[in-house]
Amino acid sequence: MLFNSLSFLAFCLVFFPLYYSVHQRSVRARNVLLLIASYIFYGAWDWRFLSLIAFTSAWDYAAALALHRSRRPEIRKAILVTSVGLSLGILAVFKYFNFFIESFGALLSPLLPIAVDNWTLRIILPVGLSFYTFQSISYVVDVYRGDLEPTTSLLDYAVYVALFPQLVAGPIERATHLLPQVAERRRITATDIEAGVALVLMGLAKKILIADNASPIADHFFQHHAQLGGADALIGSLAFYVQIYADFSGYSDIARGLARLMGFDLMINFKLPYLASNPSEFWQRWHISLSQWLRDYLYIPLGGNRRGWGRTLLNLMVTMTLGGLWHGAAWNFVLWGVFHGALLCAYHVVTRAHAAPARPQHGVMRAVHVIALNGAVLFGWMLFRAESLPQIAQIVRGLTSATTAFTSAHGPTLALLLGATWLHDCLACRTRNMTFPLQWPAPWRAIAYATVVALMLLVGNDIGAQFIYFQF
Amino acid sequence: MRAGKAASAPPGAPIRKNTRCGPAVLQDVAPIRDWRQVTIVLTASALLLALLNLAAARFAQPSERWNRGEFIIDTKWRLASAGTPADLVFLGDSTCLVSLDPAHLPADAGLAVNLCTVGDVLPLADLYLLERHVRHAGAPRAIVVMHAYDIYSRQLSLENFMLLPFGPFEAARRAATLPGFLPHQQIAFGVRSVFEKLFPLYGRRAQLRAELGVAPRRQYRHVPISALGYMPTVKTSATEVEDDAVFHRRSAQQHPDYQLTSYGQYTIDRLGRLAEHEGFTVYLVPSPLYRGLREDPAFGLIYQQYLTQLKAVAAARPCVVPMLDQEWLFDASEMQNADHILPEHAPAFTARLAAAIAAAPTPCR
Repeated sequence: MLFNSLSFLAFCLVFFPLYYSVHQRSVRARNVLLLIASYIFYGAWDWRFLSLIAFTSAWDYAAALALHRSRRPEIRKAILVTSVGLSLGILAVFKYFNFFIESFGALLSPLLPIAVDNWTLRIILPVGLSFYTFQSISYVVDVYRGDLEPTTSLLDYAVYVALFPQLVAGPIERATHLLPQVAERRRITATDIEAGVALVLMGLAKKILIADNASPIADHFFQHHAQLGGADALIGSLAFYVQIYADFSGYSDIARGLARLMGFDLMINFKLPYLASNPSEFWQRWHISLSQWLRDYLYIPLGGNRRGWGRTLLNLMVTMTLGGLWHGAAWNFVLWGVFHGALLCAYHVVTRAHAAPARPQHGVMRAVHVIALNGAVLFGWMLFRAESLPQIAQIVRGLTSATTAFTSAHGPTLALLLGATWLHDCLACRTRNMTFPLQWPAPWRAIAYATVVALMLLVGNDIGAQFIYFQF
Repeated sequence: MRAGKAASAPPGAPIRKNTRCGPAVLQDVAPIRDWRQVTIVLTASALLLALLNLAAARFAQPSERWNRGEFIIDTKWRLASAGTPADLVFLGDSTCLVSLDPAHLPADAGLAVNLCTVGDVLPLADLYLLERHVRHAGAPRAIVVMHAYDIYSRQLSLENFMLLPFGPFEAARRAATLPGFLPHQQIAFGVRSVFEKLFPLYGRRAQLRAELGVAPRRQYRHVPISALGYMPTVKTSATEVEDDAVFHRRSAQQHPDYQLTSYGQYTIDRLGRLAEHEGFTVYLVPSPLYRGLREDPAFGLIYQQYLTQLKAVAAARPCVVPMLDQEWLFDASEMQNADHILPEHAPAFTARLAAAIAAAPTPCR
């Protein structure tokens, strides 16, 4: 069930009246309703995978309780390894099995007497698996570290894992932040309602008005790149640059808005990433819940920056490469991760050489840095979007060939979409507020909400287009 | 006020101090508001949206230059509501629309009205239009139902169902009675119908975009529809009949098994029941057909299956008379394409058909 579909609208028309009728009466009744609704929402894709999410929830719930009760370090470690190993094992089987088998087979094909195709499995990737698996792992690790008391309620934990606004594409919420909200009675204020509506509308506008209109341009370029060249590559890649930002941050806004309408507070997942002036800042602004997860559960356990300069760079590369692989079982995602790891390493080396400038940049210098970083990010998105390594090489080679009519046909539309994205980011930056429309006077807000809905209905490319991050 | 958790450092690299809108200072800032303030804003935006929607509904009316099929259906809908008295009502698709001219009905056959539309809405439109006509003008003496053979084997799409000018809830109610759908599909069909009809900003967005100049407009040619519903066809190419025949032959070779859909069966059954209730006869008539196509062996097999299946359905209702053995064959020079005749042959065809009906049994009156 997609947020931008009529079926989800129908789902909300049934769910929210029910939710508001029970949420003040009893936490348990509210959570039972939330769990049923979340499972219906998830089961609408494929009900068979409900067993997977239910199993993950039950297993990690039990593991956390066992960790809390156990005093012996070796037993605690065994529980942790078993729990995390099982979660990663599920992820490995459903997401990476075929990838590793095929890659292994391609590498050893001259030596193998049989085709590896025979060993691959016909496995469908359950939507949201990467997101809820990471969420569940973080809970068990936090309990192991003693940062969190495990919940004694399986219902609360199952709601934390499956809460439908953020179930399929995040934000990857920490139990320390979300679980207490699930367990407590929460008052929903008028401010929550308007903030929720504003966030949902902002997210839908990003998705339907911007991402879905940039998508055909990007798709056309990456499908026909062999016939296109020169500035076409820039137009095609820029279209994807706009699309992925509007698509994913739009999803996060909708998720946060829906949660807010239910009285929950989800973390901000995007903070104007294209205004970043260096790679480190970019990852403080882009998919924040994932970069924080990678930092806390991968980079720091690897040693972080505490084991010398060389080890820090290695840790950065490992973290970012695995972060790339998290996005999908394909070499272009690995390459994208390696590219961003290299950017972070280069930045680390440069800042170390210049004794890390602590004062903020302003004016022209910052603008130059922002543009340079965006150039690198744009190249990264080209790696990310490409379907194969030969395609990447072909696109790069095509940069020297002649520009075609593609650029003049799509340039104006793309300029409009880039302008809208830039305007949103500038307004948010100026007000330092990710929900800046809420600060406008009442008449302007009313006009803005109505206009956004009318524009979505009127010029939306197609209600129901898939969000990019659903595939991860 | 609620605020999202501040971002902390990502893997590696020292953190810069915050710039004007650095990640640490960017938050959700929602000024505290009471229920009255929020209700006013949300109600005002809902009212504004309703106004925009009303404007869209007035602006994006069915138009010949946007969608001729929808325009024809809408014209016939109004004709059916006009209370035009008729002894004979012609129902069917465009083959009937362009070949039966009520103005040329022999005087002894009485008055007639042509409520034929287009094939997109399948035979279902016949039922809806006749119900409307009976409500406003009373029951006719007889009705003629004429469709091209392939209309009875086509599936219904939501886009085509939306061409019928029902109100939002009437569309949903009709969708709920459509045959050939599972209950959840009927619900989805109904919900979408209500949404598209209630929100012309969405349901008619393609037309609105074109009218506002943000999408290309369609080319069109004006063809008048007479007061009694006849619309002449226009020949656009000398080879159109043969080209169309080639298409039908190829289709017959590729899909040699003909299957009457549930919509066709449902419509004939409902028309038959209405005829029994109101006391009139339903004549099922095949459309005009290009002689060269009818003589093709592969096409002949398909056509025979169509005739047999339609007769079987007709046999279940006593007021339905299948006049399917009398075929109406024409030469290429008399036709616009393989099943549409040219306007100059419509008067004679109308008179011949009226004579055939006069000679046919009249089980219900």
